[in-house]
Amino acid sequence: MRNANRHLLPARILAALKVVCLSALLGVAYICFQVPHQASAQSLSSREYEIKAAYLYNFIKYVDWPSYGDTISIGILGNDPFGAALAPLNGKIVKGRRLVIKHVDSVRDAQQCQIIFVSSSEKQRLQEIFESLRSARVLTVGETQGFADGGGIINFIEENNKVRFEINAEAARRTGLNISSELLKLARLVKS
Amino acid sequence: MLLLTLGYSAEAQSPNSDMTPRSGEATHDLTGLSLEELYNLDVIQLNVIGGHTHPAHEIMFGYEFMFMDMGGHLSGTRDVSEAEILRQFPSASTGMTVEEHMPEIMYAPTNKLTLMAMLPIKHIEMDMVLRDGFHFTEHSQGISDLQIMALYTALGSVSKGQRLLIDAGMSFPTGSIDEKNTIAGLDPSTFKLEYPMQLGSGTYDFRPGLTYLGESKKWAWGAEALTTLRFGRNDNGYRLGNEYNLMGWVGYALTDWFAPSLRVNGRIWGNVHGADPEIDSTFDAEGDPHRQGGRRVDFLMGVNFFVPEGIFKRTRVNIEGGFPIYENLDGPQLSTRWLLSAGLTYSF
Repeated sequence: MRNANRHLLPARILAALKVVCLSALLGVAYICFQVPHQASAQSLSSREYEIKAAYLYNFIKYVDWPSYGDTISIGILGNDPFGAALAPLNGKIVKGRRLVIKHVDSVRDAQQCQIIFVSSSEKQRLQEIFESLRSARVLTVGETQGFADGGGIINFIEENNKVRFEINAEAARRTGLNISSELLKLARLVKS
Repeated sequence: MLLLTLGYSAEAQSPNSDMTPRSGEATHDLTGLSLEELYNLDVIQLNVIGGHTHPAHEIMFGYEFMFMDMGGHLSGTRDVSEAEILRQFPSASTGMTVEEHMPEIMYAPTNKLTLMAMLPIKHIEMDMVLRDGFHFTEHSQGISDLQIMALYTALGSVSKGQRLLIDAGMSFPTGSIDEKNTIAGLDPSTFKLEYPMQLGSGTYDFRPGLTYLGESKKWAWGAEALTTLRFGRNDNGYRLGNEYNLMGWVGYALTDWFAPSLRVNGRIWGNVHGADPEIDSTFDAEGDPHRQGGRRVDFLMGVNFFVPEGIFKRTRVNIEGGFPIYENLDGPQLSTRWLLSAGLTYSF
């Protein structure tokens, strides 16, 4: 037979623990009310787009354009999903030229860029965009299902918790861009 | 929470503006990484916080230990003495411990869906006293009900920092509802144990719920509403009451491998419907089907450890302890004094 009053913590210690824990709860609750701004800001800076931004930077090294100006421009067409992730690219030197990131609001402006990231907000007018950029020597990059099949050149996809990409090499050739075999080796190749 | 998610999705900037970082927004420059390094970089980085769901094709094995110590009695929120119970019943409980060992396995067929199976093994002891002062201990031990759950991300994603998950689960009656004890000195000496001493529910139960998860680089927070809905009657002619759980938690990663956390868990559970004819409802309060329900709010503090590198990479250890800050029982019933749990998981 066992002693009925066999509890492992005496009542006084339990009571003291309760006071300590409730004080801790109040303290942490205070801290929690102080941090929501910081927490939400951090969550908005998405790692997915930090990776995609770094890919855009790398694409410049592995794609040859027929001609360059003094700068290399990456344009964002449509709603910008990158948040602050593209900011570190601005002003970097790549291929001996200064990199400029800008938002564009028309396909005409997009024609002045070397790379144009077409946001998924432009999904409904992809064909119109591709037609307008066909002869403009612009590397079109998207993240919309069917982007590369539909005539875009590079499309980001998510695969096994990693950002991967599809390339439509035929669309690149039509545009007059030369994509290195190293980049093609990593890509999933698609056709129009 | 939905507003926050939608607020993020709708975020847009004015066209033709040069890019400058917005104040307070942290970002990492990954341009120093090679193409191959980017190609192999995880979008969802595992760290000490998070881990509620898993990326596609990940498997997790885990073990969880839970311990609950009960003592003293409540009827409603009023303390009830043993003497008062013994005026009403020939015997009274004086204390109870519930020990649970739970192996679990999780698998994520896709990034949005995580499946899990858990099989608790319980060891329950309850100390009793008769009116004449005779003390004895009841005990039961064995597997409890098998739990199968699916968590589906309905809104948001890990990379966006906020998610709403739909929980759908089922409990299978693998636990015994025929636990008996033999105690020398009692008449009869072999008797069916009371409802809280049985290991399972005896019914197929549905467990629908909703989970909200928020994560930033340092903070993880969330809330979960989970119900256990029981239907029909088990083989012994009763069903346990439905259960409704609502909890909220917050954790803060002090380092990549260590995060303290706080959790508040509210629970409402109903009385037994029907009755097992073999359980004597007049011997003690624990055998009365109308004295099983209650409401309780627990406050729990935890420490969480994560191994980011090395041979034990992706191993998580968590230890959590707490006590009720509110308890209201359809008693007299034993009151919960404190709770402890510890878990170990490995993902690959």
